[in-house]
Amino acid sequence: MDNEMKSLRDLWQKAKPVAPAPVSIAALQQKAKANKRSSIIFQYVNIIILLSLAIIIYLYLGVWFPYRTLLGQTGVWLMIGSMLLRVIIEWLSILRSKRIRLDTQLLQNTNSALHYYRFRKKIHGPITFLIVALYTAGFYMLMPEFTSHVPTWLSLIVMISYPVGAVVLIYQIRKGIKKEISDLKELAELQATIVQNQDLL
Amino acid sequence: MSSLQPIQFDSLYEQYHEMVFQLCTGFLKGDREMAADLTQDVFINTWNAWSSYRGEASHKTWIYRITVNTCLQYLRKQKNKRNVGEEQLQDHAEEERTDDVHFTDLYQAIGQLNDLDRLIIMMVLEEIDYPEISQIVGISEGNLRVRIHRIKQKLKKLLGNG
Repeated sequence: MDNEMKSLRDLWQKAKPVAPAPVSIAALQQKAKANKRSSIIFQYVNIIILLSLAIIIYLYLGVWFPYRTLLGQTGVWLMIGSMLLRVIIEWLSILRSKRIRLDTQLLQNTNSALHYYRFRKKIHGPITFLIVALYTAGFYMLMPEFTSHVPTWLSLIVMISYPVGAVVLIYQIRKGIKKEISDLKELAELQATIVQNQDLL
Repeated sequence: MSSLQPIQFDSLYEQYHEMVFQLCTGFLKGDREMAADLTQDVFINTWNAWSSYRGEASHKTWIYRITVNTCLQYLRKQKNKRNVGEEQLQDHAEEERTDDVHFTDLYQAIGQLNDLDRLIIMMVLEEIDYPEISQIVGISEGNLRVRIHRIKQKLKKLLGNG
């Protein structure tokens, strides 16, 4: 076996592919900085969108055209609250993702990534349903007061368009979940492959 | 912001560029174009991670860790993005080196191993010490020896000597 391995080693060493000319360090550093920037933007874009929406809802329904009834006011705060809850979760998610370091041992890196994706799986399950339920309840709580100020046809359009929007949103979320679950599966398999036989020794 | 001074990164890049490219090429079953991109990703990650380098491992081990993690992460991303399966990554050895039958056989045989075994055997072929490989992967040396023994047996079978 050792002789065979030696000949394989020789073959491997002899046939090393010629590496392409290294790119300039300045270009590499520039790309690294650009990647880091876009990764930060990508991570925080959800938070920024959700916070902006929460602020718009607050200004529009709480300040400029405030709801007077208790039901309406509760609805507004349920909508804003559910968005803020999502913001907190997204922020926690970013913090967890930062624990996945590429310069650690493969097993450690895989374990951190697994923890992250398991956390994401939890978020996508009951927590997301809770958030959607709170937001939906808040939205329909606005309807009694809303219908008293606008024509019936407009109220009907608003009430019907909400579930349509929700279906589109749920479809998008499900696409993201599918990708993350596939990552989770792969990582779990990788972790199992790394630690196999560990107990035997 | 990385704390790595340009001159230090410069020498690190020059010293390990070829080593990383070799591992990436083997991991991607001979696809040199993708390997060049992946090599660049490895060094981008190295640049970004430098501020967390504490000197607990040698530069070489540290860069191998980043390479191994980046390779596996890259493959996951590719599978998600374009559903790149094994099929699309398998024939490059033949395309690149039809003149060297033995080398083609070796690449194809390595390409049939699972991702982790492929990385491990390439590190063995690169003559990296077992303690160093176990530091990179994160398993005990004993476990690594058992695994390498099995990979060698698999490889022997795949090369038609088993």
